[in-house]
Amino acid sequence: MGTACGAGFMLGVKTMQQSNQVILDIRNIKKYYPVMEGVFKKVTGHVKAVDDVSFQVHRGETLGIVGESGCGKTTLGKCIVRLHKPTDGKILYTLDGQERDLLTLDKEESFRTRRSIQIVFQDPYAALNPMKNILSIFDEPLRIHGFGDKAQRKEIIAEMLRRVNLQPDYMYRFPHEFSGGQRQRICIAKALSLQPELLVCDEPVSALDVSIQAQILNLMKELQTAMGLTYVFIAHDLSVVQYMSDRIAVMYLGKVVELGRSDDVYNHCLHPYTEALLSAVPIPIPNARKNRILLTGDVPSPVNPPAGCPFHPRCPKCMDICKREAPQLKSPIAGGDHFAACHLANPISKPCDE
Amino acid sequence: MQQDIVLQVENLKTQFKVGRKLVRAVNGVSFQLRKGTTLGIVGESGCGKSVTAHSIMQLLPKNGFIAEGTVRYTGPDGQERVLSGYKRSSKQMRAVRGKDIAMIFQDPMSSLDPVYSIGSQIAENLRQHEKISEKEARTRIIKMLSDLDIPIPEKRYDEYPYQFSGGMKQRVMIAMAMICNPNILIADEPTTALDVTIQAQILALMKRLQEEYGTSIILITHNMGIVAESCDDVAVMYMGHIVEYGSIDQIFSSPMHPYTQGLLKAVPVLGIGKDNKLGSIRGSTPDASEVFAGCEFEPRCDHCCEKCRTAPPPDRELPDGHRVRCWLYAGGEDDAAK
Amino acid sequence: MRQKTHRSSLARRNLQKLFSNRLAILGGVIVLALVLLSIFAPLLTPYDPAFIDPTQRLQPPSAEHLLGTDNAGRDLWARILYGGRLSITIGLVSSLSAAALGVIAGCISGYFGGKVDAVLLYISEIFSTFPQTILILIIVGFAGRSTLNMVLIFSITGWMGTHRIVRSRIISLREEAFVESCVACGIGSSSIMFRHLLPNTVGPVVVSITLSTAGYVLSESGLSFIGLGVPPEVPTWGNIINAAKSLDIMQNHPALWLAPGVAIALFVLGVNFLGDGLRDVFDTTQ
Repeated sequence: MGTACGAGFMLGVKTMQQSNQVILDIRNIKKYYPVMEGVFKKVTGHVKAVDDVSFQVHRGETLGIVGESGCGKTTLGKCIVRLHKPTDGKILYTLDGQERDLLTLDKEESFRTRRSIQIVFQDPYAALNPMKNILSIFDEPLRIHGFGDKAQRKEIIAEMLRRVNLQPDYMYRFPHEFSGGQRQRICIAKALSLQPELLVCDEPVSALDVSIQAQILNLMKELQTAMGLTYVFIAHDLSVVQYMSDRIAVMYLGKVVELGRSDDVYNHCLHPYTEALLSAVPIPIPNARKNRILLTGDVPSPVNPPAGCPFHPRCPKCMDICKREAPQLKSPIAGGDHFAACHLANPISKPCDE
Repeated sequence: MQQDIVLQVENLKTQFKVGRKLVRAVNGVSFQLRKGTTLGIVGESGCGKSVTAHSIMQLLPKNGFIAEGTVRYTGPDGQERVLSGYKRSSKQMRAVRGKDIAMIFQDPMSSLDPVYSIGSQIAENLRQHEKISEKEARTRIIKMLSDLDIPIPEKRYDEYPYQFSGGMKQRVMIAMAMICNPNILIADEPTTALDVTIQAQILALMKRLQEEYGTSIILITHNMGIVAESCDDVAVMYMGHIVEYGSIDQIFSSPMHPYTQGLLKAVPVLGIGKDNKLGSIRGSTPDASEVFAGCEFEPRCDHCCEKCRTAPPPDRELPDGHRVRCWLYAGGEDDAAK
Repeated sequence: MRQKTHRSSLARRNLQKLFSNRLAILGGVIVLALVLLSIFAPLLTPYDPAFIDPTQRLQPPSAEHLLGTDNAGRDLWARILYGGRLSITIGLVSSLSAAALGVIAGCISGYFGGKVDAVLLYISEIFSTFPQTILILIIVGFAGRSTLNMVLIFSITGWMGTHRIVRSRIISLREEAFVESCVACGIGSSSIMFRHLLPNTVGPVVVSITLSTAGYVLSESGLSFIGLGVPPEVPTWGNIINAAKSLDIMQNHPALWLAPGVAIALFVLGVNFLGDGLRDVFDTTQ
């Protein structure tokens, strides 16, 4: 891959329409952590943080991943960026027209693909090295990926800061001189300075005030259009996820329980958990919500997942089969694009498509 | 004081000495809490909502103090007590705290002592205020735990905080607060650290307790959705002032202050769809130690005029009780376009 | 909002904090004074500290000899000044090299964890249990007494403390988002360790260096006192006290042990004040 110099960077505004091209194909990803007990550190079980997750992300879209604590969405996000090494499965990523498994790349190819998939973290206070100024934080990744000489890189940094509505001379400042919202902009600018194609956003606005949150979300939408980005947007706030996403994946205890277009999931949700989740979200309109579904019991921990369907102990519509057999993620309509892992939505007797 | 007002706060000003600076966290806040209702105090970080609650309970840290204003509490016996006049750890204040007015905090993880069983912690609060035997306390507490939907309460009484999940710990906190049947419950961001389905459970629980026991609640939060669903009245705070105050219908249907309007537009509503744009308020909250000659919101406001910069805006109350602190509504002299 | 470019740095903020601490400034001034006195020794005394003059034995302080002479006729003031050079240098170089070893070991230990960490911890424990004095006796027995040997021994036996400090700091920082950010960009392990994590451990390490400098000056004095340090003709503060070891000298010529004692005490005190100030500076920011 040749060097992308400063001038080329500034001219390279790609407008990408949402396409059906698959950029990321997650297949059967598992991330298990062994539970060791006893003096001899015997493995007695596994924490199944991510348990057999598969889905595709299309170029230019925003896929939202939503779920409560312990559902594995953050672990999944970090697996995609290869901060965690999955226990099993494939991550197929299309780079330069070629599809390859990110987990089996050699060192050099692995290094090159790092440029293309970037991540924005939840806590803007922890994501920037307090000892370095903004210039040096941005400069190193640009330098090792060959983005031209010092002057050209400085120009790139200035341009990125402008893009996130910050003054270029802020690059000489240190992280502690910025507010939370400004720091998150800097983190976004840093991630995008490498010109990635896919950006994983791990709860990027959860730590911010409401008014700042709106600024950042709008900024992210603008940048997506301007730079032709694909987002994997991970959050626990369903309202935010719904605002940002084209498609939504709902996770529970390490599995995807529902996957579909944003409107479909909201208007015609298939899984009882999604229904409960939607009904639990408080709406800032008085008297808007009449009936709320209240789940009994706690959000379970992934250490001891129940047999059969992971949601069955709390499900108001639990059937006998749910306690025995774990449902597969399928579409009730042949060839449909709205999937649910639920025996109610996909009765066993009815033949369905993947 | 009106018959059904349990708490009246007038012109409360709370300040902190930080090094050589004086931080004016609360700058003249006034509101009332009516019996059996829920008042929501909503605002972003640094607005002073938590400090207001701590001021009422006299739980401020060493470097904090009430500089001005009064906090008046009326018990069921009709007797009025001026809480702001009591010393922090005086007998009178300690009699009120926990018994008449109870508080639950944001983080249930750190609010419980890890080395004592939850039952004994609740019992400690109960027996502080009522002269009853250990056995009787236990019976009452187990009944309360069962009321709060904690399964197998007899067993859980003796368990330690680490054995409880976040949602369960928050229920324990509520049990601790409600055990003496207080008149007022102050909940400081009670569900912020909880998952959304658990949050729904806790909010429903608090509503049920209010109906059963007639407790008046002050709910502090930054989440407008929670306010709309759980509260009867709302006070919107910014930089230590209540910028708007009214019933939830008034605030949500016809917000008057530009900050309230901006806040409501900035919240993503479920079902809003991807193609609508969120409104945002430009700029960011100033530092709490900054002093303003005029309105604190002026640097971020799109409707301001010269007066906003130079003079603090007056409080204007409409006949229906809707109150706003803004030059736009200061009767007659608005030169700014609405 | 702010219009002008404002170049600020954590270093400048820390310096400002340091200068507001009076004890730290006092400590710094004392240390600086002693260092300058040692450096400019030739300008401050016409005497050669090694020049033996039997006719001038045990002279009391006078206009000719500011602090008098020792029992070999050498000018005491000159010996104190030149002795300071060696004492301070030994203290500084030992603590710097011990810190360097400890930092590298700590970084590797903390960042990689697992077996590497276990091995390094094991080595560190072995070194900790080994008594320093015995090691010195052995090495002096084989290689003789010299400044280099002493510095070497101090370094080898002194890295463990810094190792532990750096290791625990790195372990706590290792999971931070800014480190994950580096990994996500493809930055290599050694770069992350030494360019990103290491600067964040500077605080406690600097404090450790200042405090151990004082410690090593004392150690050198102690070792020289029992005859295991540098050769006795070479002036160090410890050696000077060593030479004043007889009852007669202690009673009748107090300058001979007071002067080096005061010098050591002042230096150690100054360094401790400075170290405390530095610790306060780094503690609250990190």
